[in-house]
Formats: sequence, structure tokens, C-alpha cells
Amino acid sequence: MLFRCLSGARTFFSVVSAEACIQCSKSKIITFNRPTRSVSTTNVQYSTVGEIIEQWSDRFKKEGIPEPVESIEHIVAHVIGTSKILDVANARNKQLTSDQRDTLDSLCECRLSRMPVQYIIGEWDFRNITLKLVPPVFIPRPESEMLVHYVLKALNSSENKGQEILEVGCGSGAVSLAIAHTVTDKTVNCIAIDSNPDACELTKENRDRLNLQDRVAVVHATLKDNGSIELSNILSGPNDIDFNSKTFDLIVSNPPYVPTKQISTLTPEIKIYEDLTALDGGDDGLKVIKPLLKYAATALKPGGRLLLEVDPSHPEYIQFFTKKYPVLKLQYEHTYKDFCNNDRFVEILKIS
Amino acid sequence: MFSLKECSFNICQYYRNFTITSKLFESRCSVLFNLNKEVNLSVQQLFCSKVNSLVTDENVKKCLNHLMNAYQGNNEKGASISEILKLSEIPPLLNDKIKIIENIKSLNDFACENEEMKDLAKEEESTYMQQMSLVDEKILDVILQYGSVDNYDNVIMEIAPGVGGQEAMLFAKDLLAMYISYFEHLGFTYEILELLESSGLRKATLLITDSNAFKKLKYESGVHRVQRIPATEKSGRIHTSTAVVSVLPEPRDVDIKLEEKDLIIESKRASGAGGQHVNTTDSAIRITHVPTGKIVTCQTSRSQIENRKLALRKLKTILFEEQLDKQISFINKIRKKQMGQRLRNEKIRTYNFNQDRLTDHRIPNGTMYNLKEFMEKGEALEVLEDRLHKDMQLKTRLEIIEEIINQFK
Ligand SMILES: C[S@@+](CC[C@H](N)C(=O)[O-])C[C@H]1O[C@@H](n2cnc3c(N)ncnc32)[C@H](O)[C@@H]1O
Repeated sequence: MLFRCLSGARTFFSVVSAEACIQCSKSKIITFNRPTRSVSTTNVQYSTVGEIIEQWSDRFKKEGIPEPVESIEHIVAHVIGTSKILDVANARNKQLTSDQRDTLDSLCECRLSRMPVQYIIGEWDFRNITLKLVPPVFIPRPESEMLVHYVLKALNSSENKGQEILEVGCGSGAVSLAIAHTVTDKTVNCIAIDSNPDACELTKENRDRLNLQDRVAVVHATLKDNGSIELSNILSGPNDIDFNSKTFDLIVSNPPYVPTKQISTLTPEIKIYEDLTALDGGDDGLKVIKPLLKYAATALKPGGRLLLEVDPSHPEYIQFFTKKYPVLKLQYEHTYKDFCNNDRFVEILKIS
Repeated sequence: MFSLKECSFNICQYYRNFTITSKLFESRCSVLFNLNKEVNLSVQQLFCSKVNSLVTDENVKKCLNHLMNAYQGNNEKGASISEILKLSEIPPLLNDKIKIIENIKSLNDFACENEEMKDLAKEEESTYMQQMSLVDEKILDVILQYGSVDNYDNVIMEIAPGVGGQEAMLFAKDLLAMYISYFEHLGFTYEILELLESSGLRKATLLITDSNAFKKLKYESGVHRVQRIPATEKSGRIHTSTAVVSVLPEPRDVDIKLEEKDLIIESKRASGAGGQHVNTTDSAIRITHVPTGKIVTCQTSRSQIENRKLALRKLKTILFEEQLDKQISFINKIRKKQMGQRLRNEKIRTYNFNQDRLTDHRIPNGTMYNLKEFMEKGEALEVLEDRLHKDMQLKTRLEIIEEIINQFK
């Protein structure tokens, strides 16, 4: 199963790279090849890490690749086996082996076709955990680290020793795994669902790497427009969960929230490589948020909380929605800002 | 015959008295003693001839007598004296001292009565004097140990170029590499919190995590001077430039509290929509502490929230240092001395590349050869650091005693 997923990812990998090249203009493809050769033939034996960084960042700059310096630094760090680009600074005078140099050059070519650095090096950090990342499963954003922060705060303020948690749309597993990894003074029982089987597989893999099998269950399931959760028939996992009767202490989600008409404005890194259903929230960006509110109204225990990451235009609607439907017994609690001062997180309380 | 009996009885009593009090005392302070075996030694060194030129036995005795008088309420107490008397270990020690003095006194009274017993009394007296100096040492030790900060868990180190432009930046970079091999040699865990480079090093901040880190680094604080022909110099002229290293222990949470409302936390992602709309690798964080205007940045981790944590720790360290600078109480002075904080612009060491040697200016015979190995291996630096530690600890203690004596003037 795992193998199938991996090889699936690999085929995808080459498909997207090819796709990206097709998207490049003809003239670009020409410039694309020439400097690569000159970089690798004339300097392959002699160039130091510092020189390689200079050459590739210049190349990235010329080709209009965003974050040219950071990109090559992360790739070098990956090739020399560290996760910190600051460590690269100490290795500036070192030389790469020819194998390392070959790997580096091919990874840099992926970057030239605008593949996100996180996919190129195959991992990224989220809070204090490192996650494997494979296209097209959504790359966790730093904002969601704060979503976890507010979840942890809510868990801390609760007196219940055991906490039943549901995450809707787990992607790589970032949110659920960070929660389960951090909370040690309570028994957390986390169920992570996603409509994308690739995401479920990746969450499972990351979970197993972090040894969180006993705290996080991954289920391939979809939140429907009517506010119910439907199990998908395939894949292993606990099939005895009945989402339409089970209740939770906390529901967390970073659902797709980008309004469809803004999708075209996103960078190629996102548009070409990430699964767009992971971020396309429909006309108003609320396509998944609305059913989430409905589901939470039935599935949250009284006193339970719903924590959402949303577009800054959404908190107002959510407040309006909870006021308009008092029968749902959802009480809007608070909107928190992210580091960029945008309204980003909404906390809702289920009242009895 | 009769009086002799009485006398020996008397002495027995004295002895018993003393063993009881000293036992009591030892159990009270046992933690201190076990921890500071090495320290006791160096305090004993205070009384040896080498240091007598700086602080004489007389001076120390005078100082302790002052302290005792203050304790017995015989003279008015300065603020710093009451600070010392408040240390919980001090009063019992002073009580011991008072008892010994009383004993000596009664011994003298007794000896006056009986000519024959004079010799015996003299012998007794010298035993008491020995015991007294033991107690004195312990009192000094408590005072000197107060505010000792050798047991901090983490250290924040900063390296920046001083005078000398480009060459100073290159030297700062060499120092950074030197310390990194030093940490590797010692097996310390370290993280680079900040690294600003442009054809050399503009600034580096490191977080070193190890309970020994402060001890092994505190004497690196200061101005490091380099004499060499810069790689950039065509004419072959020797330049002198400097780099500045500062070493600060990380305060514990109780030492510094930060209010959320006083902080502005920013990320470079600040422009644009953020969230799902953006995917960058940038996780750098910048924190401004509004009341002081202090700004810290961190780009160590690929996780933004981890960078935020690290930046906050750095900020706390900076504020802690500032707070220490502001407090001018006597105890705090001692604490600062114990931290190895001296003049920030003190030239501590010269690295002379042409002569392949370095000289630490704070210790006699501070010259070492084989500079390349010194800067690349870490072993030689550890040897030097241990020498500094021994030497400077003694110096610090002498300075503190002088400080105490000044308080009585
Ligand atoms: C923005 S991503 C968040 C991923 C992860 N939680 C994170 O923060 O990195 C949204 C995820 O929700 C999933 N998803 C989208 N619509 C869904 C639905 N109706 N039911 C379940 N999952 C859905 C997508 O497959 C995607 O993995």
C-alpha cells in the first residue's frame, strides 16, 4: 500500500516537472539548459559550497525564481544532511562529493520549474516536529502553527483528562500530529480525516515516524455539504467509527478557504504543485466552513470547542451565522490574529 | 592538682561544645560544602602568602569583625551589611564565631589566675584560633558564593566585528568557526540563532545548551584582537583589528517576565494575504520590545513558532543583562563579578598570526603557540579556559573582599 503511494507520488513528481517545463516558454527552456551545463562542467570538481550557492542563487535570480538564496541554501542543507540553513554557512568552504553535486543539480532543476522547496527536499518543520512532504499534499503554512497554539490553550483550560479530538482535512497530518506530540498530561484521542487518500497515507506515514499510532487514527472520509461525514469505502483504518453519532471535545480544521476567483492569482509553486482542492474554498471560500459549522453543532459535546483557520474575510460571517441560528447552540467566542495581524483563527463554543 | 583537674574538665567541655556546634553547622550547610569543595580550596588560597599583597589576613579579619559587630548590633549597619546578614547561612556561623571568641576570653581569664597553666592555655588558644579561621573561611565562602551563577543551563553568545572594517568581519567569522569547533570538542549542543553575513561576519548569535556552558565560556567575553596580514591586503602590511564577544547566561523564567502587550511580533510574510494564499520557506521572526525598543530576530528553525520561542529567549537574556546593569546593590555587584562581567571593552586576548601565537592578557604566562590548532581543534582553548577559570576566580574573590572592606570605610 505504502509502496503504491510512494511510487504514485514519484510518477506524479515527474509528471508535474514535465508539465512545468511545457508551461515554460521556448526561450526559457533554452536558457534553462545552457547555464546548467556551464555550472556543472567547469566547476564540478573545484567549487565549494559557498561558490555553488552563489552560482545557483544567481541562476535562480536570473530566472525569476522566488527566494533564490533561501532556495539553494535549503537544497544544499538537505544535500549535506542538515535541516538548518545556518549550518550551511559553516560548510561554505567544504566541497561536495560528485554524487552530492549531481543530486544537488537535479534538485535545483526542480526549483527552476518552480517546485516548492518543501517538496524538493521532501520535508519541513512544523512546530517541533518534522514532516515528510510529498506533492500534491498541501504544505503546512506557518499560520497553522498558531492554530495548534490555540488548540493547546483550549485543551489546557479544559478539566477533562481524556480529550476526543477530530481534525477535518488533515493533509500531511501537521495539526493533529503536533497536538498529539505535544500534549502529554492528558489522554488525547485524535481522529484525523481527509477526503484525499494521498493525504491520509501521508498522515499515517508521518504518524508512524513520530510513534503516535496509539493517539492518532487516520480515516479516509469526506465532510459533505449537508454537514455529515461520509466514510470512503476503501483503505484500512478503524471502520467502526460512526461519525454521525460520535461526539468530540474539540474539533479543529484548516479547511480550504481561498475563494475560487483568487486561485488564479496564486504563485506557480501553489498552482502547479499543490492539490488545489486542499485550498479552493468555492465562491466565497466558505464551501467547507459552512458544513463544518453544521457538523460541529451536532458532534461537539456541550462545552466543546471548534477551532478554525480561515480567510480574514470569514470571521464576520461566522459570527453572523452563529447568531442567526441559535438552535445550533454554537457561541462565537473569539477571533485571533496571525503574526501578520490578519484575523485568522476563530474559536467557537458549543453551549448546552 | 585540683586546679589541673578543673582545667582539663573545662577543656573537655569546650571541646564538646565545639564539636556539637560544628556538627550542627555542617549539617546545615552540607549542601553548600559538597557543591563547593573546589571553592573552599580557593578560599584557603586567599590566606596564602601569594595573595597577601592584595588583601592581608588583617584586612579579612577586620572585615569579619565588622560584620560580627554589626550582627551583635554594636554599630550601625550599612545597606550592604544587612544584605549579607540576611543570607540564611550567615547568622549561625557568626554565632559560632562569637562562641569561640568567648571561649578564648574565658581561657585567658583562667590563665591569668594560674601562672602554671599559661602554657597549656596558649596551646588551647591556638586550637581555638584554628577553629576560628575555619569558621571565618566558611563565612567568606558564603558571601563569595552568593550570586554564583555557574549553574546556568544555557548561554547566549554573540560575536560581532569591532574596529578594522572588512578584516574585523573576517576575524569575527574565524572566531565563530573557532567556537563551533570548541562546542563540538566539548560535546555542547548549540544553535545559531542569528547570522548576518556580508563578506565576513556582521553578527552571530548562538544558543548553547549545557549545564557546563557558562563555566566553559564566561571568560570569552571581551575584545579579541587580531594581528595579521589580511587576505585582502596587497601590500603585505600587518593590520590590527578586533572582534567583540559577549557571553550571557540565559535567565530563568523567574528572573524575567515578559508581557504580551509589550511585544510586537512580526514575520517577513507580513506583506500580502498570508495563510493558504502563500507558500514560502521564510520563517524568520522579529520581535520588538516596546518599552525598551529592543529588537531581536531569529531565523534558525524552519518552523516560525520555534523561531518565535528562540527570539523570546534571546530577548529575555538581553533584558536580564540590562536589569543587572541597573541594579547597583552590593550583592548584585558580587553577582556581576561572579558572572565574569568586566569592562565590555577590555582587550582580553591577542591573536598574532605572523608569530603563530596568542596571548591572553588576563593571566601571567598567557601566551600559547600553534594558533591554527588553537582555532581549529578546541582542546587548547579548553586548557586556556580552565586556566582562566582558576585564575580569574581567585582574582574575583579578592576583588569581592576588597569591595566588602570598602563598605566598612
Ligand atoms: C488547507 S489543507 C490543510 C491540511 C493540514 N491540516 C494543514 O494544516 O497543513 C485542507 C485539507 O482538507 C482536505 N479537504 C478538503 N475538503 C474536504 C472535505 N470536504 N472533507 C474532508 N477533507 C477535505 C484537503 O484534502 C486538504 O488535505
